[in-house]
Amino acid sequence: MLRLVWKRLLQLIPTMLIVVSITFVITRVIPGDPVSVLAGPEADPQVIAELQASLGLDKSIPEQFVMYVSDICRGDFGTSLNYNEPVFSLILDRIPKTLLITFTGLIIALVGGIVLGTVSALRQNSIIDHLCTFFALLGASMPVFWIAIMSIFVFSVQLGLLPVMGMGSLDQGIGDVASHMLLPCLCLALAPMATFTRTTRSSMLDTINNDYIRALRARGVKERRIIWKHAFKNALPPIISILGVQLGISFSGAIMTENIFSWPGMGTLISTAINTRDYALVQGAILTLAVVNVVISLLMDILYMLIQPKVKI
Amino acid sequence: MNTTNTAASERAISSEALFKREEKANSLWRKFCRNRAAVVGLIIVAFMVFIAVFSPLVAQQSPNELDLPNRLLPPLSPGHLFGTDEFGRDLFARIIYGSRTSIIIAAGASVVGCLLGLVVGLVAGYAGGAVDSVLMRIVDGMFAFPSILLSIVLVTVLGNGALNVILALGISSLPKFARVVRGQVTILKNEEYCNAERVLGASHLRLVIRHILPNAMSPIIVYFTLNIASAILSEAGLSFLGLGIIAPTPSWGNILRAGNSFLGTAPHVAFLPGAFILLAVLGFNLTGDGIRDALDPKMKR
Amino acid sequence: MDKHLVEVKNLRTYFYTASGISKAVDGVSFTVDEGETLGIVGESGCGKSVMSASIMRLLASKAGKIVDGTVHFNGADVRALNENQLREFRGKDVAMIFQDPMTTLDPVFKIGDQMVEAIQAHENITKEEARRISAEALGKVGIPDPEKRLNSYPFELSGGMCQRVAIAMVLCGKPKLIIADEPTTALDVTMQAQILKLMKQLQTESHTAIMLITHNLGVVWEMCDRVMVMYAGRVVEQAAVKELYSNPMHPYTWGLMDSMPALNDTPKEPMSTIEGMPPDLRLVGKGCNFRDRCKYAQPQCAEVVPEPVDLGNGHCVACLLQTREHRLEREGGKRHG
Repeated sequence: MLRLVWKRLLQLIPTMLIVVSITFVITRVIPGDPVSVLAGPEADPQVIAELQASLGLDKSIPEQFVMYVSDICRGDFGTSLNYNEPVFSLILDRIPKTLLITFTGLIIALVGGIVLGTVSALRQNSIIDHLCTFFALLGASMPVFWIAIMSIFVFSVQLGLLPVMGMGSLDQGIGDVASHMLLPCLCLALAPMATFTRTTRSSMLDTINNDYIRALRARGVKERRIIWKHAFKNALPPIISILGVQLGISFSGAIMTENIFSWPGMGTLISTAINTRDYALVQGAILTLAVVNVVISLLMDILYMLIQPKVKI
Repeated sequence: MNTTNTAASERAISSEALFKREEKANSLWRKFCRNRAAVVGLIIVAFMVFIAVFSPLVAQQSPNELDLPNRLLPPLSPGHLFGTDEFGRDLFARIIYGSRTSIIIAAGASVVGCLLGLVVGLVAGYAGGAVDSVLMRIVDGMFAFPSILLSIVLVTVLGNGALNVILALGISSLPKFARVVRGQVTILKNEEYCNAERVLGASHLRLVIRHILPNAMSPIIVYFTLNIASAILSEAGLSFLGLGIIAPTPSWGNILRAGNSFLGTAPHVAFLPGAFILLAVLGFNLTGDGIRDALDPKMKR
Repeated sequence: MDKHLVEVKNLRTYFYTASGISKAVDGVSFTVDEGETLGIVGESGCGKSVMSASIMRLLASKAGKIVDGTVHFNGADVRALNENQLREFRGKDVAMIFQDPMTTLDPVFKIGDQMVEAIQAHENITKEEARRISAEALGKVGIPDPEKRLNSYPFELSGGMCQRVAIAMVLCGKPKLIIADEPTTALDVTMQAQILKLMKQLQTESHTAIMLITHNLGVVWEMCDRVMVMYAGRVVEQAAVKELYSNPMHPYTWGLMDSMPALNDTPKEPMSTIEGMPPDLRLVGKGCNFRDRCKYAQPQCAEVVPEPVDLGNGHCVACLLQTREHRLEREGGKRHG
């Protein structure tokens, strides 16, 4: 068991190295040379050379890479041109807000998907099953930014029920933040919920046709207990195994939805950075998101190993 | 007792008839057609491809003709089935021509992604060992980036425009294809018939092209179809963020982007392109699922 | 009139599939008395398991339905039980032992937890009490160190051990009838004998009736009082074990007995088999289901469904050629019993 975890942790090193290399390559090929941006369009060559030296751009590419990696390891992601602040502190401020909505959305999706998928599997081929399957199809095909806009239109513009912009403030009570979170989280939950519904349904169907489920029925155990205790625990592994992938999808969704709801997270940070050509911020942000994604996927993998007693030795 | 009687009427069929019936029921096309959802999906796909190919015939008006006095007309206005946008352009024409952009980009991106993925996956899976490890770690690294983020970054690097968007989305879908292809190849290359070919002295290239590739094809076709669906979503997302296809070229994403600013006065400008995106994505998803189920019901994930 | 523990009349269970209706159980009638062991024999796919599942109302697939017939247990109509009554009926009145012990225990829960659950489903007692009963039952079925075993997962036990656990679980409910669906098929030979011996011993202690489903005639001889031979969803012959072995009457039973290897067979001589395959259950209906493989078949066998006829001493045979007035002469064949 521990050996498996270690093996998985070791695999992380090359993956991280690749991630860092990709962002490094991106910073070198991205249009808009940082020096000419800093120095302005008509700077004299002397100034440009000095700036290049100060940024380490006069060194060879491998040297630059080593510098880049060591900077990152020290938490030095450079300085944002637009905010005039260290990129790292900007990200530290934003990332919890993105994690807040992605995780809330993912939990809503997980719970909702499991319930819908199970109900669907138990009443296979009934109207409820068809409705759930239809919902799952629709949810998986729904453009998240469109449903976000439409929910703003319905709940805020038409009904005036919910706030749309920003994340509210904790000073006005937790309810304020919660009401700001509601729509973004629901929009984010939709696509993963659809996938969880499908996965739960098929996994549950596989499980409930097993002999031990029949044996439990033959022993007169209550049906509800058979489903939610026995079938559920056996059907869980495939659901957990897709959690990591769904997390990545949720991050993608968050980048889109944050922009629509003006949620002050990584998504808005990245698009502002792109629009203002603030490349230090762009690469810092994508690197952070990738690392967070990898680390959380790893934790999910370990969780997956833990819930399977057959691996427990 | 009623059921017993219907049962009795069933007994007339002979075993040959039964065998024929089963054989017929098992052909791929039959299986696909028996799946009602898949048929609906295929019809949607056919419809989308039709309006994309024949846009000038379907839409009578030009998608770029300005008519400022008639801006933001509601749907069903005379001469404008879907109304007009913020510059008075006919929304119906823009959406129809937008389907062209979206479908071409999505299909193109899937072709690029599929070809790149095939190369990486085949090499990794067939070579195995160190080559496999290195290539797959790179793929893992690409997987670390949330897909839309990878596309955003690539478009930023490559610049706007249809070709660059195709390239960006294609590269972002490379890891998905590479993993599927590699998985298939690793299984197939150890099959008996491959070993037999090897013993007979077949070259690596021949083995891959003649024997491994055709057998790995079914999941690739499924992923290709499903990838078109996700590429439509990604393209629309990029254009919505103002990164992919830039107006005036119509794309479902950038029409939606424009509509977002007039939500209070003209919600249809945002609603309609989104509905088309949903429909197209649904169509490709249903078709892909249908092909998968017809090929192998056990392949469900 | 003496009351039977189980009384099944004209039971029909059909499966509705895309390519036709499969008549898995097609008009089966029989009884089981208290403390009696009834053997049910037949080749794979003849409807034995579907029949036992029908009695328990445990049809696995939704396509399978009981379309006709009655099942009475202790006088109560099993088909009319509501969900709660059914739950009481299962496990407390009738318990089941399945074919593959490795798959009948939930792989992700400890054995003790599953046993406690089975006990608490019927008795309102504390967990500690239920655990004590479980450990006792495990000891009774010959599992060493029962207290410790309660904390094992099923995959940590061998197949034979798992089957013992399953039997122990059945014992805790003190059922009046045990349906054992090929309880030894998945086990190796030495383990088979042990499990059968265990079942027999427990039966004499508690006076439980057993319905033993098997395709092994030897097991029937060892274990059963009466035996019922099934073929393609129908009962073809039913008799006391000794009667059946000394005087089998249905051509299918003859075939079954001939294809059973015996120690006094000439070595290396090919084993006798029944030619052909059982019919497709979607195509049966008219006539005798065995006619295509029966070397005695007459034209009328294709027309009339043979009804079981009592030829004396409760020996029932469903064959048009075997009647009170006329007996069929058996060609060749070995002698058993």
